[in-house]
Amino acid sequence: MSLLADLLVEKAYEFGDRIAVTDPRGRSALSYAQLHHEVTEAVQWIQARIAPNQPVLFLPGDTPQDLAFLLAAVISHAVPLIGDKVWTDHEVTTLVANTGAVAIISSDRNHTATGQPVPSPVADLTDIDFARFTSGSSGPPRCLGFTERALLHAGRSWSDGAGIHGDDIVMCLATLNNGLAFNTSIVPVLEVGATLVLPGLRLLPSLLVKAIQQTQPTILVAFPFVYEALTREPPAGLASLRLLISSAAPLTTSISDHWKATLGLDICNYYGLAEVGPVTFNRGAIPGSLGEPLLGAELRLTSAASPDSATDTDRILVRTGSMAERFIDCLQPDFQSRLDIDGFFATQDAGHLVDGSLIVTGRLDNIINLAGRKFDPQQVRQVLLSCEAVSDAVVRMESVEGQPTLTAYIESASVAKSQIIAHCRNQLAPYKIPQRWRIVERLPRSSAGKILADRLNQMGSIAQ
Amino acid sequence: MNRSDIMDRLKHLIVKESSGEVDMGDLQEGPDSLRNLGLSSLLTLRLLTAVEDEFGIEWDEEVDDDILTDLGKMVDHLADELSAHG
Repeated sequence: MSLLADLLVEKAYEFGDRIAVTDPRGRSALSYAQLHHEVTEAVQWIQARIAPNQPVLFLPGDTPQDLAFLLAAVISHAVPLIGDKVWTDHEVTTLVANTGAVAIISSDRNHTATGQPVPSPVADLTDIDFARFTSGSSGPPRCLGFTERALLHAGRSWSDGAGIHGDDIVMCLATLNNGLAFNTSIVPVLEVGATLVLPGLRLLPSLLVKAIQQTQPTILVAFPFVYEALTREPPAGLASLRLLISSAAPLTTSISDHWKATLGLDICNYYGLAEVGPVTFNRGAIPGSLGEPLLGAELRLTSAASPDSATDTDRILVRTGSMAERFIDCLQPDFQSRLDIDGFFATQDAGHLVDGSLIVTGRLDNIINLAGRKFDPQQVRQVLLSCEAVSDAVVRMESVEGQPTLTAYIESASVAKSQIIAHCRNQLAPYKIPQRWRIVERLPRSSAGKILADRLNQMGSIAQ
Repeated sequence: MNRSDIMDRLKHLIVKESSGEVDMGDLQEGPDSLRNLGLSSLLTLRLLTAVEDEFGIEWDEEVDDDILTDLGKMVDHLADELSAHG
């Protein structure tokens, strides 16, 4: 019995030949009936290769057929661990070991056994239908097990909060594994009989505008840098849009103001976490806010110590119907330790409420949020230190021309920038690779040998 | 415009669009030579857009990934495009 399979059958009957998902040119479009057929066929393909209740690392692409394959994986009774296709071999190897994934399936249906024991001894998969990964904010990404019920709840609460209708066309520029796409653009679209456009194209303003003109989307789901890039395009080409959704990463005021001035639209933001799904939605009416709780979501604030000052601040705790059941990997801590006695998940975010709307003021740890992707700069530093020619390094966010920029300060007498970037590319996803480099023979240090962080900014003139 | 002119203009464009993160000495030809510059998504997008403006071309959505990640191949592609469009 699968709630998701039932939903697809129901929608196939209800919407039949209406387009469920397409690419901009409609070359691989699937109607609701075709999507159901494609999913059914893919379920059989998966079940012929993977025993029930076994974890499989699943790395989806971003075509309509990939979406069908992803839905099939959730329905199949294998337990797909839905990952990012841009992960390096090193990252994939680590995650396979941590989760006990018995196979890796890529979007082209390339199926590779991992050599892990079958059945997998690593994780408790009881009642788990699929898993997603945290962004790896402290070491390797954690693998979160969910039920189909949580998936459908996330979709329904989102379509309710964002007001998605059957005649909407949703263009989603995030990859299918990303929370921005997973929670806002799959079930919410299918639930109401709308159409999902997966451009699968290079993110160039000219190509995006062409795709928008071809498909006439009413809703755009994209990361902040896309909204910035599109500001150079004439607004007439974007006139079909009625709702703009960005990730939780902040947009600069000038970008928001541009869209408001040219199209009369606010860029809507939301608060959500991999562990709990979408929590709030802001239609843009309250600047700086992430909005009010979605259906079934509850917020609680408790006092917590701020890492940046001696003062206390408020930690955000959340409880939703979309929450994960548990971590399904061999790492610590376990998921239950992050829940309070009432089942509220303790986030690492600080904030407060204004008239019921959530304002996030910062992090309670040192995690970086770069265009909506969160990660620990210490992970990047460890990779840098694993390069033989590097004796020490500092990785942090800096503002460059108003843009948050991941910056690495490298202590090395011999390493070249191209060499260290190539080293990073072998071990880190592209978004974790620093964009700004300062390579010096010696980093500024105190007499005790501690790196003087406040003097790093002055190194520009002497850096390589 | 010959290949050398295109290379020169493209290198200057990359340095300009990288917000000071790339200098001429970083620019080499070869596989992944552009990818290894470590430009962010936004800077990459700005660069490819600037190339369209500078050379009067439009990237095709099915352009080979090698062309966008290898400086030498991008120059060859631009030379072909400029030659084809006179």
